[in-house]
Amino acid sequence: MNKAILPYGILGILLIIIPFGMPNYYLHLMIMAGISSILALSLGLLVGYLGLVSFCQAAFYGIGAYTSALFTMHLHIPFWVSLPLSGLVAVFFGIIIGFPSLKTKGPYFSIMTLGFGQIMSLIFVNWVDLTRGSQGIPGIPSPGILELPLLGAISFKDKIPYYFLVLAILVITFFFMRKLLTCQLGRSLTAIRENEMLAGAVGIRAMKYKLIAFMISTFFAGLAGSLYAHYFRFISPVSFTVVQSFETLINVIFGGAALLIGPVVGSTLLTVIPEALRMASEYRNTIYAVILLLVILFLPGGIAGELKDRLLAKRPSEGGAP
Amino acid sequence: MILQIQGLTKRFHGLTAVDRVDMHVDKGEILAIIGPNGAGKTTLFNCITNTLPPTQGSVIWKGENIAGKGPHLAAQKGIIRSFQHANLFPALTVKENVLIGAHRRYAGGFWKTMAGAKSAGKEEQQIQKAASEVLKAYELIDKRNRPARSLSFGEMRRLQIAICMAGKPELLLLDEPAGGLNPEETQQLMGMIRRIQAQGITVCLVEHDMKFVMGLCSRVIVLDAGRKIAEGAPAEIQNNQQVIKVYLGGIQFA
Repeated sequence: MNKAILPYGILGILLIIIPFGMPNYYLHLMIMAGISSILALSLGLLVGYLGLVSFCQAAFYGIGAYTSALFTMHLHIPFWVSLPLSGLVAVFFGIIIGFPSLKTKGPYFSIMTLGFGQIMSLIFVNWVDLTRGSQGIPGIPSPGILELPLLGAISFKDKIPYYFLVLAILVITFFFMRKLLTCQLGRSLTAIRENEMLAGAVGIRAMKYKLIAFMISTFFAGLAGSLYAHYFRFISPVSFTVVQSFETLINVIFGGAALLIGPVVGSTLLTVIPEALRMASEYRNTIYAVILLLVILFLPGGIAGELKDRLLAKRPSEGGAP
Repeated sequence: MILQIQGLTKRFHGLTAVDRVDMHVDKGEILAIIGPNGAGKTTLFNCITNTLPPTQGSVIWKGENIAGKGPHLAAQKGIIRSFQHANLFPALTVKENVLIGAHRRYAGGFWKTMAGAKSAGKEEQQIQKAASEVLKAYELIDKRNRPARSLSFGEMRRLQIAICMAGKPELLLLDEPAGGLNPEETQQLMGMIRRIQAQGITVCLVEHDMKFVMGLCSRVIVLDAGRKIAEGAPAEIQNNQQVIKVYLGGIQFA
């Protein structure tokens, strides 16, 4: 464990220093990478640890975004309350979709979630009274001003405070998941993925654990949605279509689904790479696609998985220790 | 008597795999269920532990009917089984396999663990320690960090039993534990099962190997075509005309 503290420490300090003096545009990219990292982490729990490929993560992202926008605008609930509420509303829908779909396996589960994702994006477009349809909702308030001891008044209209807000939620999400996966719950999830029948025979109620994981996943997807809504202060159904679900899934697999950090690495790289390719505007999408294909073909464990393998290969003494 | 089974029936569409079986298991015994291939032995096991819900009948464990209440319930109540196939978590390490086997011993709630409560940490420590002891008892401690799929066949069989034992069962159901083992390994397995019995755990096993069953078990139940055709001490079974007829041309009794 102690060995792991140093790289975490360096990374932590870098993440704290980086935003100061950074041009707004890069700061914007960092915030976007952070929000999509939270979303990808939420999906990574299902894909990486339960082997459940869900195609409706964007639906819960959208539910979180709309919930937070509508609560703050119409019910005048402060952002700090609507942020967790948006997660809880996403969980509510998560239970409704999770209960029937988690009874199915493999491709059947994927197709059911695809259907739900499609239904939700149709609701976002067509329930005009509530969502204003494809016009979207403008004028979502920013989180407002927070009076903090020592730091004074902080306005989350500015990018740097918002960056730290997203970073804080990302760190909470990451460590929550890490704790979760190293305790008996995480072991039970792996057991269900590896051999559901044997897991049942030792007393693991597969449906219960799958549903718990699904609820946790939807909660963080909802949080990510809320952060998105109050950052852009405008949302429309385009952001929460099945295409967004696919993009999130690509982030997870590109980074490496088997490792917790994988979805974060994937989301960050896949937010930055397309922007870095802007100079080659005509070939941008082609290059992006080629990079994706190369990673999928040659690094099946994803970027983070490959890095871990390389690092471990340098330390052959591993394995004997308890 | 800790387990009583009444009129247990399992039908797969037209086929009746288990047909109105009545049986019981006494505390502390080693009971064998034998029968030719396709007699319904494994299906009977599946129905007892709810791996498959029975079509009819009851499975009464300490006075409570657990039939059809989900596979996890039997395990939580103390009935733990092994499988003939798919009996490990192949990609996980040997130690993880055993820790998963200990699942039913975790009482600490989810939120307690997440909040880092002291009781949860203590429980984890205790179970880790118990898992190490199980690994030692089944001579797997040196291989604890290896993936289960890298073990030899004999070691996999030991791990299979270690997974079950980590859950501290009251009744252990073993599905063909000696299948594919050489004579020496079979001897070791017999010793292992006797030690399990000596710990006060009741054992019920499904087996083909007659020598193994006759040398080990105190009572034998014979199934044929889903029906119970005989029950008694090994010596009685060996001389039962109906049993001999069913097995005729098959396996010779020792």
